[in-house]
Amino acid sequence: MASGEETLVYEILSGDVDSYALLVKRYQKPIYNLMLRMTGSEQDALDLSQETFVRAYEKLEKFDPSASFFPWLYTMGLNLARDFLRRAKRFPMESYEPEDNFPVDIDQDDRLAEKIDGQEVLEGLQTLPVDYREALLLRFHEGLSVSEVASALGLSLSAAKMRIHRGLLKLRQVLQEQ
Amino acid sequence: MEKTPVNVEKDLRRIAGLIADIRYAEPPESLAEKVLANIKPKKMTFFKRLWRRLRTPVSVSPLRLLPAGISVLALFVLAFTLLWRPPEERVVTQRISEGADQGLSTVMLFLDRPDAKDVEVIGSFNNWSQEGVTMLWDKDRRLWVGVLHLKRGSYEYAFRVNNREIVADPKAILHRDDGFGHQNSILIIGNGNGNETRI
Repeated sequence: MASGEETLVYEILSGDVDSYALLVKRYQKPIYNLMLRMTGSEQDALDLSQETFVRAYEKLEKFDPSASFFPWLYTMGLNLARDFLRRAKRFPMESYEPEDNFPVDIDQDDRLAEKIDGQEVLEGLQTLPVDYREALLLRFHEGLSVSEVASALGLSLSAAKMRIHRGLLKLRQVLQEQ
Repeated sequence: MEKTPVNVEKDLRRIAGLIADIRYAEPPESLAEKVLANIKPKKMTFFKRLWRRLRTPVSVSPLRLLPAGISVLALFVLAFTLLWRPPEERVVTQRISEGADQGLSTVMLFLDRPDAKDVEVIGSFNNWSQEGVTMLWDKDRRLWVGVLHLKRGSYEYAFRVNNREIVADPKAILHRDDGFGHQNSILIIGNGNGNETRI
């Protein structure tokens, strides 16, 4: 768990709303950006981020303080975003592709590393299926451990490892084709 | 996992580094304010305060230990008395009779997931609300049991296991893709006029 969060959770449960403000400020950026990626709308992203934090606060009694807060919060946010899109009968920004329909070719061209930049990686990520994209961002941008990624995405440890690895390979393939 | 060639591994490390450096959009400043405007201070129950205090290390002399032990024992007895609930089957029976009283059809859903910690039914019957219908664990049948009271009509539903895994009903006859890689199960309530079990 991130530094001091267990204490923060206890303080919130004891009635200290200001301690929750610290958690909101700590995680509002990744949650807001998750919603932006899911909906493509700033207004929807703001509304869903707000709903995620309010819902997490309401359910905080169910949270295990010895676990990491962010994966728990993220799971709630992802569920809310999917429910929102389902109710609105909209698909997420990128359609989901099951593992079986997600072939990865390993081209051994070794010149790619020098050619790619951050903007291209960002654009490439947007073309990946949601579950692969989020696994990569949680692991490498948010710095979660593989077990925390597994927890946030509801996967087994081995499935999370596989998703991260295949996600990287697929992203490399996309970047080569760009 | 298949062995990755060295040059490809180099690319993957570079890509992972670039993902780490992606610049996120700044959320509106109003976000935190709006969240705080929608929450109220929580009140921790006496037992949770006590539990927290018990988890905090303190120095204890033998003379203080005896009354503390008696107090803890008394609290356990009190907590058991307050928190005891009727067995699941009695609760299920009670839920079924509630549906009959309201003139709705009662549908019982079952899920064979003994590994799950909690299971809910979510679906179109409540507009896919995040708050699903909690299923109860039947110890004898080793099944999760959910009771719904529904009007006539067609509904889509799924089980949410451990608050994250979406699972279609393996016993349902009809399914439909939900567009997110999962399947929703279909439930059709016909002209029954009382306690129907699941279709």
